Amino acid sequence: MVTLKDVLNSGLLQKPSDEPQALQRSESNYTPLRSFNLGKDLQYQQQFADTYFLRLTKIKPSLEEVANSAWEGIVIGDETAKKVERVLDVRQGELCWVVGTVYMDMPAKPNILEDVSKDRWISAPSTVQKYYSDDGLDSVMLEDESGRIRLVGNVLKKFFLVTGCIIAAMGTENANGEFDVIDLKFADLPPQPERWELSKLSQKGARSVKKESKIKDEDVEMKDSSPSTKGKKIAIASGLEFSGPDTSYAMELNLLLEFLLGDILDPAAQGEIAQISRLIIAGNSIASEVKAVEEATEKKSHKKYGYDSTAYNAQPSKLFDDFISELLPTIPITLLPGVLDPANASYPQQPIHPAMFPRARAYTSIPGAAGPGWLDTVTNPWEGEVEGWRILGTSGQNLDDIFKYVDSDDRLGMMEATCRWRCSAPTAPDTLCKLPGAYPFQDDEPFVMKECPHLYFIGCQPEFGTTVITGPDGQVVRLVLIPSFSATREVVLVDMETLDISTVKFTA
Amino acid sequence: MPATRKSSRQSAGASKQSTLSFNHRVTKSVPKSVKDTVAAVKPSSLSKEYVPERAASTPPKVEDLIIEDAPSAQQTEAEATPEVEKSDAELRAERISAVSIDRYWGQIEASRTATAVHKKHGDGLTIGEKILRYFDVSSQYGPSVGTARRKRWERADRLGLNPPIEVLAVLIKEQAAGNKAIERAHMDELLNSTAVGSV
Repeated sequence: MVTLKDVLNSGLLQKPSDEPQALQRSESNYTPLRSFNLGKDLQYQQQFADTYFLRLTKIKPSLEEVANSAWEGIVIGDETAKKVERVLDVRQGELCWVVGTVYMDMPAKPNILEDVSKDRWISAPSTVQKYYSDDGLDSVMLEDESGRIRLVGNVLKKFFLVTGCIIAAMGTENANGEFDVIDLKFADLPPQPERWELSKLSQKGARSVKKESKIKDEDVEMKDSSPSTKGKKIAIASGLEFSGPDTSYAMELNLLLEFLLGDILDPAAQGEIAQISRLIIAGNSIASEVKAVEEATEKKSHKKYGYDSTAYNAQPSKLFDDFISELLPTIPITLLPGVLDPANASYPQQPIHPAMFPRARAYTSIPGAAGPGWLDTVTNPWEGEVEGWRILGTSGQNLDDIFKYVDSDDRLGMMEATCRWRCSAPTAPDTLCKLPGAYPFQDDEPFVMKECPHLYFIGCQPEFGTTVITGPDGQVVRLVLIPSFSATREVVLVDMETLDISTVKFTA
Repeated sequence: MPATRKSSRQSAGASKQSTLSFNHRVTKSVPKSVKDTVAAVKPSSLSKEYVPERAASTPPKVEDLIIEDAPSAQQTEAEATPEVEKSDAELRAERISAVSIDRYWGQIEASRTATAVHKKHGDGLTIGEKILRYFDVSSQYGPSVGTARRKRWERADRLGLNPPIEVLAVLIKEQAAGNKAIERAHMDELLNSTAVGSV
């Protein structure tokens, strides 16, 4: 008689192999900051002068320190440089330095005064790629509450300068009334918090942030409780651009979904994927259907409540909702709105309302709850602490706008410049969006970086790029440009222990 | 005219579920019995500044889905406003006497070396108003247009610019006296006025 044992070894029958250990995804240690959330009752009576004033006042003290240490007692041509209080206090022939805000006067920039004078109430959205023009009509000015002065000098070409960045300029006034600049200084990187600073604070019951001494004393006991982050990663994607008509990258989006779920590749790779503890979507998740709307408004369309409901296509947001509701059971997601997303057009963009995602809504936090939900819809720009590292991220509008001001393609250089200016969106009230630019801040200007992040990412960029910059006090920042998925089919993985970057490219 | 919203809402009100009650309008129509207590205790603009304290002291009443500005909520608000804590700067400002305010203004006038040619235009103004207008044109504290004077002072204080405490003293005194005209900069009214026939 044939026994089971014989058959088993012959190769015809096999015992079921051991069930592969179901992989567990690493947990995500996450503390978002609500620095860019605006309150519900917004006032629009104030002017943008308040925003510029706040920015200058907040950055001025540290910039004056930097300039003092650099230019104190410097002698050029038998003259020592003196500090002047206001921009208009510079005198002809006197060597001096002054702190102010930069204003770039460019004819190619959209100008509200021109629109009003030509009796056009709404200007067509500017289609120029760059405001910068080579013909010398652009001028750089330095401004503060007393007035403006034009800056000239070859040294200006060495630096990235855009409207709204705060600089200290040393030089002298020449015969034309222009300020001839010899040297420029920026505030440089702000102080960088320690790793795990926010989590430690919340563990202690959110005491006010006192100096390092207190944290150092308790450092010994903290070591045991600080979670391990061996090999943990986060994934950052942007420009997913779910769209009804455009399906050229739909296959890759599906592959991305399966990749993050761990459904594809072999168990070894899946083990690595299980280390991805969080997904951050940095803008442009839902493509806008601009063309369809334009055609519809040409014909006589039935308009009710001011918009034509037949032109609305619910497909993109439904596709995106399906995508994230499949992902959400296994991985927490942080969602930043982008320029194409259904969030407000002015900068800073407020979180996309969870009502846009009927299925994924179940994973958001209850309004009024203390902690973030599994799906955290956040502002653009966004600041938070993930695995102890302070992260600052935007969906690209700030960098794209700066790109228009300068004669260069070096996006990483511009990113570095925003860190050194200590302002993530210096062009914010001036040109940042087509519609009412930015919110006119009156009490506090959140674009000024008070603390230096460890990781700074900008989404919806045409290409991937990364670098590390260092600051004068030993700050180290990893800068990453996240490419738009719809164009490049790439997502970025960040190792949470070393902040190393790797990209994953999907090809169908 | 299409059917107004009100009528459609009333017809839908016959459903069994508890609904949001819009009978209590957002503009807080207070029942007559409470009107006196509220009017007596609530100082007008000071209370606006202390929204966070007020919100915190109102006890959260969860009454299903009905949003009601209940008379009880109003009463607790009325009780809470006098208990509001005064900030450090306010306490200092309250101690400033009228004599020191006059002395402060005298100092400013003495520092001006040019002859006072336009003094007659300032005849109708009190010293308090003159001090406030001088504060308005002090550009180191930021633009004075588009923001209330009190808020501008507090913002300057927060940013460490050391605004003169006499200004806060005048503001508190005028607000306590119920003077609404000093809330915003005079220039604000001039700039915001619209001429007839302008587009």
